[in-house]
Amino acid sequence: MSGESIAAEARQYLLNATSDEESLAFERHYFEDQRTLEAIAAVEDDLIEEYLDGVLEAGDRARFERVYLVSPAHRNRVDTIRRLRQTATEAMSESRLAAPHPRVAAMAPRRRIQARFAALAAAAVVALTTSVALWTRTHHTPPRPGAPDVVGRVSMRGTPHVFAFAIPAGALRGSDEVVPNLVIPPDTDLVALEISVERNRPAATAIVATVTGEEVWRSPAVVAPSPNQVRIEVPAARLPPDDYIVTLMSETQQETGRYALHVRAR
Amino acid sequence: MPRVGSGRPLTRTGFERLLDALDPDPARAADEYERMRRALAKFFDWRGAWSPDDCADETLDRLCRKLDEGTAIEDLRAYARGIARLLLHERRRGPTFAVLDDAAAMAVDTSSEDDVEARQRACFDKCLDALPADARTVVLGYYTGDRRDKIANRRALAMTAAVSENALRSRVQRIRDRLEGCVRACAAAEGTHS
Repeated sequence: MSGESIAAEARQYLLNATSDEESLAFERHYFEDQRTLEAIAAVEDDLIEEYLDGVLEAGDRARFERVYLVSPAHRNRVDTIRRLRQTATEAMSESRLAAPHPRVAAMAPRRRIQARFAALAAAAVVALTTSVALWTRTHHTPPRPGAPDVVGRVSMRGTPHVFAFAIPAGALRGSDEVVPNLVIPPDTDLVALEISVERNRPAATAIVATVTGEEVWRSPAVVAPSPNQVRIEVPAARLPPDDYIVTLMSETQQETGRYALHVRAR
Repeated sequence: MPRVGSGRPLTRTGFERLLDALDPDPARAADEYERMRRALAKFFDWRGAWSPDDCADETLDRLCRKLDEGTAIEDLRAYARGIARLLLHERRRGPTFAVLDDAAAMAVDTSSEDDVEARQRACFDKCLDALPADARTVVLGYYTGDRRDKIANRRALAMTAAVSENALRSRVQRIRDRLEGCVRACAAAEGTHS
């Protein structure tokens, strides 16, 4: 069952719009598979947030109110999320309006907590929302014996600092091509791996694992910056010097590509 | 540890048999047990049962008792699902037996809606303040931003914590479950359940 079909079915299941047979089959699936269970929980969160945002389609909204909100546990969940959003919004507003030090010191403990959080939350939001306007430059590190140049770009996007690294089609594991080494510059927060792929072999997920099979990262693969490339961003802390295998998977969990990645110390 | 459900008391043998049947390795069996309990609790929750956690525990109690009686069970998960569906049917058909805390919450509340909302909000604030600081920061950070900013914000939070976005979401769900439980208990004590 693909991610999209789980999401569509989960939505119907949560709104009690599935037949008994469909519900039985779906329940069998999530009892057997932890990831399916988590995926349904994620769909439930989306449904609640769409309801609170007022963007649920009329039919779904009516069903949500008529079916989902009948349960006291569900009402409690929706109320909890509504209040969390409200508290987070209030904290953000306070951090924008308040003079930093004396005001914070004078606040009641709860308000101080919100203000402390607000600074963190604001930093997180700013980091991403301003990223588009910032600059990139090409970065070359000196050649290392036995390995070709590392070709990468450092993107100073406020924070986090992103180092982009292209993995060519020739880096396919098992090929005779020499695979370039990746040397991560200091102060890098994220490594953006831009992997060359064949157009007819779309990838939905990328998994980075050590050669001994220990998975260090898994995330959706985004088609970018060109149609023949997919991009994933991996926290630099997850990539200590070692040899890795990057595996691309399709939506149906079929392997579509496998690449070697050598991370080396500076 | 085995709990005492509404029927006959559990024996240690039944519980041990369940763990043995889940996995011969005790640590893995304990993990499997927790996974099964979570799946059961979610089943009851998503099917709209009153007190999903109690229903999950009752299902596991019944499963233990079956094993204790020597019933041969080939597929434990399928059997547990069968018990769960039966229990759901019983709960829907029969009268509602709530634990005392929940019963207080079911009492008729004659306060105005504004009063109820104010008291529930007070419960929420109290429970939020009772969370560890890092959990509070994560859960509030997760819900910061409007629809447009939210995705980018969550992505940044996941990057900062060096975890995947799915792992961040799971963590937030666990924190929220805790918060919901606290608010439920507080509201029951105040007699202001929604």
